Amino acid sequence: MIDGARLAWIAGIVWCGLGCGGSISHAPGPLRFHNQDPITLVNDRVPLAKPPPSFDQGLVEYYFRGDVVEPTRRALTVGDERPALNTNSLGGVPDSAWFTNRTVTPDELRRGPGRGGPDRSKPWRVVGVKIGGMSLGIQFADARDERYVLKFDEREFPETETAADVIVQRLTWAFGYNVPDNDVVTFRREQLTLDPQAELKNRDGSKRPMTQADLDRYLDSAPNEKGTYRALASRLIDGKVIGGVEPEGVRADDPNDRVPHELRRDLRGQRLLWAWVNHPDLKSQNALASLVEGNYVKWYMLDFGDSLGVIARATRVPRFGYRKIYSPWSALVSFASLGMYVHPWERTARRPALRGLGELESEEFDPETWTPNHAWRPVDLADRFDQLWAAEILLRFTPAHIRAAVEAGQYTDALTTEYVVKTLIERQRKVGRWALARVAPLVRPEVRERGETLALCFDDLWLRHGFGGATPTRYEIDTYDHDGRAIAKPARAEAAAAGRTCVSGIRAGAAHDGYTIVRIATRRGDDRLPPMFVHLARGPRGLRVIGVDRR
Amino acid sequence: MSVLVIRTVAADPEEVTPVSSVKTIAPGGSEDLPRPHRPADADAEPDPRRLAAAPPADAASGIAIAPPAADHRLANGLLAVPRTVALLLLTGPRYAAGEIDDYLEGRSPDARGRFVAQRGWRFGAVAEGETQLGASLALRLGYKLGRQSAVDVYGGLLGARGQSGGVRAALGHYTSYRLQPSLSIDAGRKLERVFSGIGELGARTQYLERRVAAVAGLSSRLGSVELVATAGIGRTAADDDDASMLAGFNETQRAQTAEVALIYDRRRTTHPWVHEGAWSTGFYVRAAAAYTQGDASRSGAFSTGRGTLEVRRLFDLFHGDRVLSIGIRGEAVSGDDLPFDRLPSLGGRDRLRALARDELRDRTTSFAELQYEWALGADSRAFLFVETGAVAAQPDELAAADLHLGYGGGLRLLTGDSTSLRAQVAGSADGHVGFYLQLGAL
Repeated sequence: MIDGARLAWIAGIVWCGLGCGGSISHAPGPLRFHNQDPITLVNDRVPLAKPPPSFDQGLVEYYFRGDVVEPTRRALTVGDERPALNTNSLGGVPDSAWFTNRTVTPDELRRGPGRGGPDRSKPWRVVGVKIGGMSLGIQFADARDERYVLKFDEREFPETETAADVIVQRLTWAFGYNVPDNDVVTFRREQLTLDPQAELKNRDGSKRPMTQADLDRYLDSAPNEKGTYRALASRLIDGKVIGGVEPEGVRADDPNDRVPHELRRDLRGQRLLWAWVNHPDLKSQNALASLVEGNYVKWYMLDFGDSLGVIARATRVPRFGYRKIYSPWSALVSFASLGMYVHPWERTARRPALRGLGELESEEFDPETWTPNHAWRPVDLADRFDQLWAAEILLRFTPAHIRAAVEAGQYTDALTTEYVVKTLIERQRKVGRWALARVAPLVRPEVRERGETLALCFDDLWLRHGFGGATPTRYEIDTYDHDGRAIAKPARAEAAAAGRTCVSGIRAGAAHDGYTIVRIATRRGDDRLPPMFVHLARGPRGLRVIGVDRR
Repeated sequence: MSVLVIRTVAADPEEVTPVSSVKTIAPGGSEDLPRPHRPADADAEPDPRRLAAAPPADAASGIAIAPPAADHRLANGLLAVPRTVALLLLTGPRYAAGEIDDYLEGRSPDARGRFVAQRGWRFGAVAEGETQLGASLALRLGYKLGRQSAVDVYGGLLGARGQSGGVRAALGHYTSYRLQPSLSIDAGRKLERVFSGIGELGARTQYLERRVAAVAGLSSRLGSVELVATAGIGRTAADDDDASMLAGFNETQRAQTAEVALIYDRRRTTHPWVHEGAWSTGFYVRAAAAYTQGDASRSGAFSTGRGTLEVRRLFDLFHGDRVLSIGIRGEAVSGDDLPFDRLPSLGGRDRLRALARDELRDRTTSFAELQYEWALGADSRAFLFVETGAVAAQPDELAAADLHLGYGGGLRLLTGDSTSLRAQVAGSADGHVGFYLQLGAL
């Protein structure tokens, strides 16, 4: 006797043998969900028995491994690219030590996650200077004894890094990630006093007392206008920093870190966020793992000062975001065309000369070809589904949200603010249009029983966000039971213009708690999108959505 | 197939409303999308009871029956050997990369994280290949004394480098005229060379050269103009088993040379993203005059003057990294009965590349080239060239019929302000082919 699940399993094997999920599949396939509500929180905060050790990897080996060793290994491995693993049954990412599903108002976004910067009621006590990295960092403690590091713009490019860091920090936090508390501050020399215990620590471990002359020397190298310094004040991350975030694998010393980083949707989906704000400097060192109170590891994103095109402006290399540092394909195109092919980044010199502005533009920007400077495995692996997840969040940012973030960057020239707001909105539209066009962007499915039948409602993000234009959208509906048998005739529904459509008259399955699979195939004009299967089952309060299977 | 048209209803199935009343969302965001508001305090730690009931991070999918995963065991088993070999081969460079990190960490950067070391050892290697002369290798070990001062010793082996070695010293900048003294001492034997006659290309033979030379120089740069004066002494010998009786063969020459060169260099990059080792536009002129007095053991004393003029113009065709350059060069010597190797020459990796190094010789040479270079990446360039050149006994004997036409192309990689790798291949209308590979520079 073959029960339904076994039949589905066999069907799945046959289905996989025929190509494993062709884009226009009618069959629901073998995938079945537990009859439960989607998970919205995972527990990766179990206290660790043993604190993980810290590590700080050198960049040369890191880049060699990421750009040479791992690509070589992958080139000689079949089936290395897998879908994300840490999703819930709706394709979302539950709250965790990495990511928090949050929606904030423009005012909350403007304030950011911190307390509005360091306490200025007393002078800041300088306790040391960050040695290493590419920028000067003066560490101080404020009146609340909270530790901050001050980072300055390069003298030649005022307001670039400080503004970009805060703007992107705000957006990254509002998106759902953990970030340090960063704010733009201005201060005069008198705001800083030297703590008697201040030390200079070299990276080789040697240290010596820091003197007033040291502080004066460092401040002399920082840009100022008539004695007023502008800097980024970044509160040191809570807990004990134990290293960066490796792009692949898990931390073996953290039992809570169970999903390989390259298979985390919250890391893969970042591709869309980083493309939007052009943050190409992705590396292990620009994210941090910190052992926080509660004795678990919390993961942070940081160092956004090179985004918004600032790295391209400061290094005068406009290809950042358009091409990796090594690109055989790009070189081959140039070679074969005898240099006559004009790459997109070679057409971007139309940026207005505004104070604080990086090489940020929206005309040549292409979300599909955007790339970080070096290989960053989660982003390189991002698939249609990761980017749909990210697009749904990213498109929630209204012009008011974007303006609030840009205003937090405190450009002194209002024209810069206007340009960055306008350009981010234009880039957001490009990102959204691209991400929503490659997969059925139907979200927030909801089911209600209406007598003998049921109604299924969902948001079509394409229409919700006004990408539809005059092209009509139509949904083709098929219904299956738990065993994958069709239980109703195919049906069609026209999309509601506003984007939230409800289709009624759907019959529920009879067995397995009313397990029902509704296939929704979306057509926009003559274009057909890959279908989506919504799985329903009867819970304590009636039929509910228990899973979504996008193709 | 029969199709059932399902009724479309509004957002809330409990309260059916006309579709037309649903608000259209403005492009650029959707503030009124219904969703739970989870503000900043959502960052607070989750409720402990809820957290305790939550599954671990890899158990959130809710999947009861998963589709069968594709099985790649066979393919990956077959690839295991090449994969393991490849990764083993990369172990060495990866270890070296780690060592570089340790080295960089060990050096104390200044507070801005940038290296300010003025002193330190440096090491380099050079590998070259030429079609006629084969491969040669050289190693360099130097000590940097300051920003403008360094002493390097090198040793060369094989091919055109034979068995050679030497010392090069740059001795700093002095006074407001930026006077820069320099000194070089080179010695070598079994240096492979090619000879094909004088005036016209004849049968190609190879011979070995011995050479010892010391040159002291003093240069001064003021803006775009540089004046370079050098004086040197040397002893050379060309050993040829065929016992050619041409002056210069099978005898030892001792000579002293003084040269003054005036250089006007306005070449520059036009855009900030263009590598500093790849000029975009500008003008370059070098005019040099030299006088040599010497004595050859068999053919007797000789003296000669030499004049050289080189002019080059670069045109930025697009974006600073599609560059057309046109160059001409002429050289002539005075004096009679000169040893053959005192005559100007063409051939080799810079001029008439289809010919071997210094293969075409006479008292007068003329050369012109047209080169187009374009960027492949930030630090790599490809180039195509056509070139022509001729030699003659006297300038008025230069004739169009004597011109040798060559063409070719190549690639180069840039490091700092110099070329770290150059590969080029050239052909000529008379059927010669030359290939040059140059990795590193002395």
